Amino acid sequence: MTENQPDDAEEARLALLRSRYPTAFPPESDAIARRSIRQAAKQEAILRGLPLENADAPSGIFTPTQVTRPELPR
Amino acid sequence: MTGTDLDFASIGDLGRRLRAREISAVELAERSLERLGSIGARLNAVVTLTHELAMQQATVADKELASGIDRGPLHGIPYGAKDLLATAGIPTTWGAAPLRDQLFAEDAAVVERLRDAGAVLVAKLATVELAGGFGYKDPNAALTGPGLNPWHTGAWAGGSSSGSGAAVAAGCVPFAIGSETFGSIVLPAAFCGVSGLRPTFGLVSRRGAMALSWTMDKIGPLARTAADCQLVLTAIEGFDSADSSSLVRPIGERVPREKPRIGILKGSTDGGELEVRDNLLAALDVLKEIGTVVEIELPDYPYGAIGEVVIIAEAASAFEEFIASGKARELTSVDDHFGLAGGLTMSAVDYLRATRIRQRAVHEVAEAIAPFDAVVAPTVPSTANPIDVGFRAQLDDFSLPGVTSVGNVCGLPSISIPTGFGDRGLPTAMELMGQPFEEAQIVAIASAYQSRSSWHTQRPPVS
Repeated sequence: MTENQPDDAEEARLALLRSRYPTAFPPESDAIARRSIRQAAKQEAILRGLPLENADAPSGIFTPTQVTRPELPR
Repeated sequence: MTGTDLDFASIGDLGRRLRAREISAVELAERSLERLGSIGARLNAVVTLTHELAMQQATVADKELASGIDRGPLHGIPYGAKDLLATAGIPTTWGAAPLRDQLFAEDAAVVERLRDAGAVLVAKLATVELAGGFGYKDPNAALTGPGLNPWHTGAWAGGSSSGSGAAVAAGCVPFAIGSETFGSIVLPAAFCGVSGLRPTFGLVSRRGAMALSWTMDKIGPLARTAADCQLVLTAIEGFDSADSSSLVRPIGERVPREKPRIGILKGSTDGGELEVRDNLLAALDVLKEIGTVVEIELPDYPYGAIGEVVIIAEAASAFEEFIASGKARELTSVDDHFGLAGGLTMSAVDYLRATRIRQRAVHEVAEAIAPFDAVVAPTVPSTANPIDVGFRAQLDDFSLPGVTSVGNVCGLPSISIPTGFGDRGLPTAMELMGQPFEEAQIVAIASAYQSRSSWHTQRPPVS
């Protein structure tokens, strides 16, 4: 397969896009959508090539929030 | 001082003249509005002139100064805000045609803080549509047209804070506010030959700013000098409980070191345009008078891939409803109509993998730069992109060289300052990346450089 040939994963992502956002991604969107998906897949593949350890925690957007607990009847 | 000198004066100079009653805040605002309406408009740098608000704020600033109320160094100083910062009752377009009439009821935190500091908002400045997060491939991806470079109108002003860079460079405003997710302050600062400071992630509140990537977005100033950037940062930084990523500056901040240790990024003078390299080498000679300069190698991570995966996943989430509604198809650039397809179909596992690798990179980079006060590299290895052609690979692929990618992935502060001129008379620049919350240190080094050079005082051929 050459770099420009679609693969199953690309087709699956395109199908997901069309089913989830049918009006936003009409058939004429195919070329740009495919390019965007390929670019993302290329970067994801680079990262999948790196080893991870259990200790590597995500640096997500979780922020703990402290709230005042209501007084319960004793 | 001539009228033109006034247009290119620093915040400090303007403040002295205001306090000496040599000029009024109203006169400064009028000059800014006039230049923005003529020069700024020709450069596609302006979205909205805030004439009424500016006159009102400037009048108050003059009255307060006359009655002995002084709000500090920004009192009476005109500025422009990138048009992704909310301003009550004034359209905030995010640079996007389908949002040209978008109105917010409240000011963004940064606009609020600058108002409290006495600054005068004169314009909402142009941005690449939706801060460039939809995958645009050339400069013409903005509601106001491609941002033109004041040094050569056949070149791009950079993005996404195009209007902020161009308006400062063209002497329309002494400072402007920009934002950066992945290069959007330092890149226009470099291309336009001004100083641009990207603060530590979390130091400046994003309340009221368009969200592109919650874990990557930063807001910061562009100005004529590094010292002016610090004055603005001091006014806009601070904890805000309404921004879940807002951080408190740690107590015990270090005083800038007199003889700083500066790392020059290994390989950063290889490749790229000849003038960019030569100008950096000349700048390094000056930095050697200021501190110790030694080569540094940073941990080998795919910073571009980390940044791209995180940003497009978060942007796809932030704009999912907008895209689903079909509004993205009204954007200026056709590439942006469907450009977040990759983010919308990314798996959670791939996003989390990127954030996990990112976290490890943050720790390793912190260790690598611990012995240094700044790490230096060219901001970009080339001068500004021609206005009528697509981007070179490094702008198209998130693989920004130098320290821009690593600094954004790791949330580190950075300042870009001019180092000279290159191809077509366009500015070249270097970037100084610092330790978290150590903006004062990189500004001190940049200021020491600017006290020994005159690149930041040069004026573009606009009138």
